[in-house]
Amino acid sequence: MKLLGFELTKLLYKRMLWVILLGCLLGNAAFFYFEQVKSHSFIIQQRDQFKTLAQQYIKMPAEAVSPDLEHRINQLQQRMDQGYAASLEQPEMMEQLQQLSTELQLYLLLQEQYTHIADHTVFLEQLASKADDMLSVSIFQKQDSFSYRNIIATAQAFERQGTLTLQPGINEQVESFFKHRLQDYIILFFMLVFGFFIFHQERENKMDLLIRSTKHGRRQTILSKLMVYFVAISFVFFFVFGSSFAMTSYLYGMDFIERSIQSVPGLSRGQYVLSIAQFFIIFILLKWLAFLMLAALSALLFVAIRHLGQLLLIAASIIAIQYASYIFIHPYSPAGALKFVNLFYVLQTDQLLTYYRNLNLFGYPVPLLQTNLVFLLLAIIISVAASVWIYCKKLSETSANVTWLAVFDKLKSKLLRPTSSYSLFVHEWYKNMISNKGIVFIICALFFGYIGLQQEPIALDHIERTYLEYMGKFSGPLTEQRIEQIEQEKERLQGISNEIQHLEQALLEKKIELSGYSSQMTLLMPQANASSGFYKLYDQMRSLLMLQQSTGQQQTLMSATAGQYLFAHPFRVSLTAIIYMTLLMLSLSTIITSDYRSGMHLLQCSSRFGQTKLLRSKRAVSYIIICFLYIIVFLPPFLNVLNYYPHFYWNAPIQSIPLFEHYTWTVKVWQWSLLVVLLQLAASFVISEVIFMLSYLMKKQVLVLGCCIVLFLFPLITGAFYPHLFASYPVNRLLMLQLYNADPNGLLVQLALFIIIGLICAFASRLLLRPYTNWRRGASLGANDSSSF
Amino acid sequence: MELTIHHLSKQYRQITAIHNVSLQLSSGIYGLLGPNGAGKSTLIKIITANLQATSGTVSWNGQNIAAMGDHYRSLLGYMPQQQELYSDFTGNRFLRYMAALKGLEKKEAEERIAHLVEVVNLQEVIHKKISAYSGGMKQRLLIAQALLNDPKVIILDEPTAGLDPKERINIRNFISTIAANKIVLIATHVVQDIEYIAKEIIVMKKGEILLKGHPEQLLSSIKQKVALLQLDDEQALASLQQKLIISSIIRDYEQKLHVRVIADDLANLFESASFIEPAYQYVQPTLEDLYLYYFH
Repeated sequence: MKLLGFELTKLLYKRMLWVILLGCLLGNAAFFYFEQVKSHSFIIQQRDQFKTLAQQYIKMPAEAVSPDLEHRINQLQQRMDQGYAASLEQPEMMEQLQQLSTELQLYLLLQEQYTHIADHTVFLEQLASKADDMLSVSIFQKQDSFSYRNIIATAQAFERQGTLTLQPGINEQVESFFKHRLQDYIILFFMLVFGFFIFHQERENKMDLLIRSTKHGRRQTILSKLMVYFVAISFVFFFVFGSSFAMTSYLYGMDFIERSIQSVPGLSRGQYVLSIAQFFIIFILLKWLAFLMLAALSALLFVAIRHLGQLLLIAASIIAIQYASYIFIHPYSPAGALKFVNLFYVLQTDQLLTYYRNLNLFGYPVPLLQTNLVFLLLAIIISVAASVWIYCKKLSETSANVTWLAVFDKLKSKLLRPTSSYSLFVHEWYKNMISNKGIVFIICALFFGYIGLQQEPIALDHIERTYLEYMGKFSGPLTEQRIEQIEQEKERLQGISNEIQHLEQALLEKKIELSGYSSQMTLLMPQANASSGFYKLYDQMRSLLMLQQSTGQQQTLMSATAGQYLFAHPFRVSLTAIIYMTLLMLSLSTIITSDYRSGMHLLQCSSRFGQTKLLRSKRAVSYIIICFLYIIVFLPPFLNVLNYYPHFYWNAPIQSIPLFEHYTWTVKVWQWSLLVVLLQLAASFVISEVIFMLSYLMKKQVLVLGCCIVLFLFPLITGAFYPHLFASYPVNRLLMLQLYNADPNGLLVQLALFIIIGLICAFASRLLLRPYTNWRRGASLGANDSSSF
Repeated sequence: MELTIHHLSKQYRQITAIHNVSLQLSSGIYGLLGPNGAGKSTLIKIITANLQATSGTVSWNGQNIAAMGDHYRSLLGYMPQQQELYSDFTGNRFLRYMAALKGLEKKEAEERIAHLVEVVNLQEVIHKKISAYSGGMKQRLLIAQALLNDPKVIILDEPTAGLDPKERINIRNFISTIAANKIVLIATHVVQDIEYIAKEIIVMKKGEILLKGHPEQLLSSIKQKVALLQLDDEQALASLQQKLIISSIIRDYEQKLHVRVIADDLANLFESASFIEPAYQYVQPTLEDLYLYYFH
């Protein structure tokens, strides 16, 4: 127990870790919040109305629900079409129209959920009849075969669902929670960091020789370390998942959690009869177990492998093999077990509960959940036992002379070590990338860049979807012909609206049969439903037309969604700016302070180029790092626009993006984008000069980082939550792209001032780097000088 | 009380770190001398049960230490070479941690810590963080931890590295006082550290024991092989450098050179170079001369 306390203390003393954890918790909650607000703003805003509506329909007899919903949707649709037409003459009707649109969307949402409920009943019936059909085929009739047993087991598994009553509710409440992946990444990050501090750092400092030579330095020590590792991971896990859960509860509430998970489309194909509340609990416990298993495996790797590079390489190989198995093995191949009993499958915990599949175990079907549970527990037990055994028995020569490692080191030295170079720049580059671990921040940037890349188009609501469909037809330079086409479409939609109204009237007056009414409505409704998206485009066209008439410059009708995403997406822009600034601060703050830490500063200053060329080399290194980080972090949104945001014209005037309609500069979208890139890079270079000056002034990285947090990061974080605060602060304006409302001349003045600040800082750095201008005397003194206790 | 090393060898693939080393250590201080790569660290790692030998055994009172496990380690006090300690810990916390690792009871640990802190003179800084310690303080802290469990076998790896002369002498004297009824093995490059306190000196070269014996006994092996020469100019020195090991060169006020030389057959050499006394005189060899003689 005593050792456990000491091991825990060692970890608790890493204060920076806990600050990072706090940052991650806040970041996770903020990311979750913005992500949900971005994707599901409608349901979040209309949560209470939807709840009331859903409860009203839950109480209704099942057979009355569908006709009632259809009737109300038709009514609302008609009222909206009439409202749209009227609003063109009476703009004050827009508010009423907005209310109607909200009500219609609520009904459409509910209808979608009831459609799913009906589909699920059909699914269960089909499953039962499919089992009967299959059993009638001779090849499936062999009673001791896996196929026969699997058909019977499948039918039995879903039989229990026949009695379930599915209900509508806020599906996002559970879907958003299990689809949120950032929490997994945070825990994996801490797993690596904790593993490094608990198992590796002592070995790196050669403390393990001392510890292992003591009486309790083996079994008791490794057991304490493993215990602390698991406790720390569990602590982070429950806090991170807790923060996501709290956010889920805040945004979507905890109503409807007693209904069955089959009510939610994303969870409906699972065999287990669970309420959403039970799903939450089991999901979290399974996920926790999965992370404990990963922690046990990583502990084993940390204990077994001394060399960090070798460790990372082996871990990467295991992950690659597991990922390849997960992706490439066909579910029905003989090696299917490798796909399903897999690290990646285990981490996609929701699939264990919602994807039905049995594995063939000696001819008997075993559900995935049970198989993976056994896999998890076995992996934990084996990894822990192996870690203890290796730590107690393994002796320090292990892996010291592994041939392939030597090859790797040789390769690394060839690629990275500037042994034959006499260039200060090359040595500074090596020092910052390798000695100061700057490469880690580049890797982090690559990671964030990767997760910033969209893998698929974003989910759009009905209005946005139809808006983009219409954009496909009408986007392009605003010519007479295009305007005419748009007007024709407007008239066509009004015609459809009138036709629906006549049909309704005819049905009421019994001039038409119900079947005839339904068949005609089936044809008309999809077109009528698209009108809301069309009117968004129409409004945009009218604004552009007015702009075109007032400026005489031809405007382009293009997707407002892409422009909004690229230049004014509050969540993405804030997050990107915060990540970029954090990496920038961490990367640049070591460039000078590391020399003070190692006591090299005086030596450098006393050498010929130590006060001139060296500073230039350091500056060159920092500018290149800035360019790398900038490209990696800021490029993905542009790639996303190119890949997933259609109908965006780079050659169009910037005013064609609704956000910039009041802008006075005559620039094209690509020119504006380039200008933004240059402005941001210029701002980053100025920031690097400020960091250099602070480094010479403070001499300690922690103080420099503290100042940078106050000067740069804090305004960005505050700006992300409260955009009006620090709105005119140059760092926020440039990095958070709050430029669309900027006065161009004012912007230039601000940039000029910013550059002057940079020049002053550069000059100050030049003065401060001289040893005899030490501002904080004693700051550079090493531990040896503190011996006068 | 006896630590016996019996035909010990350690092979790292193609490299032989130590080869067929046999030693018998009883209570007293032993100095382990040798250049880098001589096998000192490997030998220490094996004795401290941190490394398994390829062949041969290490026994404590006739019992193989590999089989003794915890029991052997509870007899062991080890002071490693490194100075990377837990910088966030205070000295006191570090010692309490080491006491826990060594399996000491709370009361016993408190008494030992209080005593040793006084012995190594760290009372004033023991509640300060290790990050604020000087190199000498860290060395003293490491010595204190090595003695926490009142060990029978004490292995000190470069105990005076990075210390100023006063601290070196303090530590040397302190080691001398604790050596009664203990086996103390000191590995070092600094020959003066062991010259006056070691019962025996073990000299290693290329993984083998080159010499072993009492300092006086070892020094007698190079008697008449060390002399002080007086030369008039550098030219004479240049011609000598081919044939002799030069230990030190001092230039006096008259610009004459006083050179301490080591060689096997000094008498013949002086004769062939027509040196006559008092231009040279034989001097008492030191351990440094011995070191140079064997590792030149």
